[in-house]
Amino acid sequence: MEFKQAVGNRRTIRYFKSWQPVEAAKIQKILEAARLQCYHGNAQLTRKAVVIERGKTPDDIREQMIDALYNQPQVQQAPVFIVWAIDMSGWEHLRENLKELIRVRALNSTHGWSHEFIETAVMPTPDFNVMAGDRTFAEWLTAFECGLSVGTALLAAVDEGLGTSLVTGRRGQIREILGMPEYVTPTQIQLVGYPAESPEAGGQRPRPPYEELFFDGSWGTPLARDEQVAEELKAAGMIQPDGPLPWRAAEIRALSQMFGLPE
Amino acid sequence: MQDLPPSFTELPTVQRFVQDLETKDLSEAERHARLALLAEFCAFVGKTPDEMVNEIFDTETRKYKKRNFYTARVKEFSAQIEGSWSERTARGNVIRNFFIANGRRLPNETPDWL
Repeated sequence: MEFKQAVGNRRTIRYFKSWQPVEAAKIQKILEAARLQCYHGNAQLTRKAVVIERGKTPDDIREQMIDALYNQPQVQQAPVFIVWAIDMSGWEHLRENLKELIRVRALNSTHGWSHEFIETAVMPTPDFNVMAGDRTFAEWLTAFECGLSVGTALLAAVDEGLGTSLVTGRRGQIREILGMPEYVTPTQIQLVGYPAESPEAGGQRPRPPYEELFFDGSWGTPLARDEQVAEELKAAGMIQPDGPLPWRAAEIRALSQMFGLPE
Repeated sequence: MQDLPPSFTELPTVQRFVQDLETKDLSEAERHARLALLAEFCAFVGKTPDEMVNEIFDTETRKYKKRNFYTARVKEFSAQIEGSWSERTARGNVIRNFFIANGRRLPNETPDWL
């Protein structure tokens, strides 16, 4: 699938074919894509995930997870959960990770990088070595870094013809169920499976106008949107018809009857 | 079709339910049938719609308090009719919808195959 089409096709899927497992290779491809996303300081061990699969993970773990995710219907249906987490202990390797980037010639003296620079400038500076400064900023940045992977994982799932979505849950309970140490915090849980609803899921969701999100040179100055570019993106499948599509109400009714859910 | 009394239909929680039903693709007869079913459930538990919504959730602690009670009553109410699992569940789901329209959620039934 072309990148623009994958971006355009992504929806938060809320109805899954519970009876159709996801191929192991597809789960791996999602995780491989997430693994390749960029990292601040190449701190690669700060974002991790636990995969829960129906029929593979013990039933009691999966059932406890469903409870921790508020028993939402899409959670009951989805055959795979990817529990994304931040691991603050991953920052302990920052020095070695940066030196590794010098070794592979990603960081070069053209930009002032040397082993001495890492020791005397980077490691003592909280803007780079976030664990040297304010913990709140460190956790915020780590969560941001984790989000980069999750965003990629969502698109990778779409690229594999799967439905996917994110849910939150009771973090303390999830940590306990999955045996996470205290320096690990579960973030969003990615549900993966074959969609029981149509891939359009009723149409593209409402979004704020472009000009309210992006600014030109200073905060609040709208960046002009070129409508010709928007038309090109429609032709490429990235911008799609807004929801609700005409048949959406009937689709929801049929799905609710199939799953025994309130309409 | 028997009209429901204004003392029932004008209750704030019922009004919210009516507004919610109006957003769905339902005929007038279907909407009326759902309101009648709500009235039947209220008689079954001996509570008004407002009482049910007020007592299921503690707005100070932000926690459910009589959720298990209503979950069990909805299951009993569903089981009152003959028919398939889907038909009985649909009956209880009308009551779940009433709670949802009022911002409260009861656990849903799950089919055996799920």
